[in-house]
Order: sequence, then C-alpha cells, then structure tokens
Amino acid sequence: MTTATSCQLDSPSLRFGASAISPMHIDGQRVSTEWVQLRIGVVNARIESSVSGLAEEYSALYSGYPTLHDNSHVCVRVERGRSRYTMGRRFIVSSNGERMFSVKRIEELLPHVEWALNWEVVRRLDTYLQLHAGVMERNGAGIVFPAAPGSGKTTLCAGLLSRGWRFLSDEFALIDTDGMVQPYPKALCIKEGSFTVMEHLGLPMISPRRYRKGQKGRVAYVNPLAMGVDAIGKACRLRHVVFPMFENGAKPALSSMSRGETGFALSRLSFNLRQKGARGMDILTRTLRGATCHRLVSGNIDATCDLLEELLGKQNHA
Amino acid sequence: MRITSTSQPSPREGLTYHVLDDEALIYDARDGGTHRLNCTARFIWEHCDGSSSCDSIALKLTRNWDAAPARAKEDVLTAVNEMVNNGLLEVNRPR
Repeated sequence: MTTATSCQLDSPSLRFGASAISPMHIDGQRVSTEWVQLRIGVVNARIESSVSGLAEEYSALYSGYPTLHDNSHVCVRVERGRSRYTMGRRFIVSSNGERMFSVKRIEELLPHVEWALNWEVVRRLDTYLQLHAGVMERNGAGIVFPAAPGSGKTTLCAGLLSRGWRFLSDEFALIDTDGMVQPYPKALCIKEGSFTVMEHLGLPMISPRRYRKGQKGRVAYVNPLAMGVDAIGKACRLRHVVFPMFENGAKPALSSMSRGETGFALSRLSFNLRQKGARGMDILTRTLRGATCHRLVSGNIDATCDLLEELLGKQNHA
Repeated sequence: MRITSTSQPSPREGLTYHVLDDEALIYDARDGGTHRLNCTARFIWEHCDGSSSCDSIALKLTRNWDAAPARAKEDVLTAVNEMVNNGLLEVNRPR
C-alpha cells in the first residue's frame, strides 16, 4: 500500500484601452489605467495596469486571442507602490483586490502577472479538477503531461506544437465533471536553457524582451498562435497520461504504468484535490479508466517527439 | 492496537474507494490523503466488512489466489495492520 498526503478564436485582435475603469491614486496622484480583457481558453482574464505599456505588452503577447466582452473570472491589477518592508519603489501585483507580489524590476513584472493569473485560476475555477500538467491534443485525443516544475513539460509541449499538435496548456490540466480536458492556453514560458531548442523548433519567442521569473531566471514567451490559427486545441477526452522526466543526453524511453499508480501520482500533482475531496477523486479515477498511462524519459526533443507520435500511432491502430 | 487472526477489521467512515483495474485508490476526506492499494491489498480491503476475521480473509485469499496458507495469513495481518495505522480500517473486538 502506498500513501500520500498531499477556443474557440473569434477575433484577431485584443481590446485594450486607457482609463476605462475607476482611476487609481498613487502617492496621492491620480493615474490613468490601461486594461486588457481576453479569453484564454476557459479562463476570462482582465489585466489592469497603471504602468504605462504593460497592457499593450500583454496584448501583444496574446495577439490573436479572442476579445472578451463579458465578465472576467479573474482580474489582475498592477500599480506602482512601495515595499512593505523597505519602502522602496515597487510594482505591486494584486488579484481580485488582494496584494500578491511586490516586484522590483520591470522585467519581472509580466511573469508575475502570469503567476498571479495562475493563482487566481487555482482559487476560482474550482469546477475543474486541476492538475499540474501540460496538455496537448492530436486527432481529438488529449495527452496530459503531469510533472513537477523542471521536468520538461513546456519544452515537450513546444516540440509537439511545432509538429502540428494542438496546445491546451503547458501548466494546467483542467478536467471537468465529464472527464473532458478544457483549454487554458497560456503563452509558453521558456527558460533560458531552452531558448536554442525553441529556435531549433522554429517557435518564435516574443522578442526582443526577455523576462525574469523567480528561480527560473531569464525566461521568454511563445504565443502558441504563432504556429497557426488552429494551434490551440478545444476541449478533448483524456486518452493518454505521460509523466515526463527530462534527462540530458538520455535516449527517450516510454514505460507503462498501472492506472492505480497513475491515479496516486496525479493525486499528488493536483492543485485542488483536497478542496474538491471525494468528487475530485471520482473525476480523476473515471477519467483515468479511458486512458493509457506511461512514464517518459525525455532527452533530445526530436527523438522524444518521434517516440510520442509512435505511441499515438500505435494506439490509433490498436 | 495489536492485530490478531481473530481481529475483525472494517473501513473507517469518511473514506471513498475507487477501483482502477485490479488496484484501488482510497481518498481520506479528513486529511486529503490518497492511498493506493495493490491487487492483494485491494482484495483484503474488500473483505474487511467488520464481521470477517483476519483468519477468514486469509482463507479466502488462499482459495482465490492459490496462495500458501501461512503466506496468506502473514499478508493479511501485515496489510490490515498497515491500513489500521494509516486510518483506513478500524478493528472490532470479536464477540
């Protein structure tokens, strides 16, 4: 016994504007606010900023994503402020009224906005069972890559994206009560060590800016729609679960896992299983009954993608 | 509590049981923990009904799995002990 505790795209452009909401006051001065609203898969997001250019930068990052006209699920707000401890100048990132991050450098700002958005998704989209996983789709079949940070999820998703697979997420598998995986296609966040891999794959990183994201260090972003207007997948049935682990220089290899072992491992990679309780466990186990389960040692990205395409080819012919 | 061959274990309340092929997952709502049972542990769990003794469960295991009686008894006592320690089973004293 083992124990653990544990798009539809409808518009080519985004909407952003100035002073569209109630004005902010910083250091006693009224400042204008820019905002952008967009639909990222099933997540309706609104970014508000008193930092000039951020909303425009964000909308460029998500160029091609649909405009959002109705209410947003999550709202992330950026303003200039002061550190609580040193009183030094900071950028303050808050979501739905709650201060989340205090950021010193401008190049840290956008990654923290993305981070805050993810936190809000975890907190507010509780209708879904949320797993820490990349999700891709091919021929209507969903393949989920659950893994802890640093396992190579994003690079793997990028490699498959470059081969025409459809992208649903590089960080969140959102599974609804019918066992369908829903899209949350955030821009792919690429660590510096993978920049050359992206160039090799022909995936354009948003340039020239590079960002900094906590322990990840320098990062850049890839808009999945750069690979084509249909590069983002729709909700799909989960057919394959593959736990990736990158090993530099390793020969890529797949090995089977039992569904029990898989379910147990996934329970430890869920953001909200504890909140969802038995209902979440029911979603997880029902979903797994229709899926194959594997462990993947990934190495060279081309060889790894070849192996995964071979796996799906075998399943399609089985 | 010491588990003996006459102990009659039963599932604790607040657990949900999910079968996945020949294994099973148990979710404990009290602490959000998940427990994985392999096929042998699953068989044992499914016979822990509060009225079957560990001896009788071992006998069923012997018949069902063609296991040696001594080995089956040892497996049942070990698994039940572990499940009790993990808060999945409780033990009724024999009447």
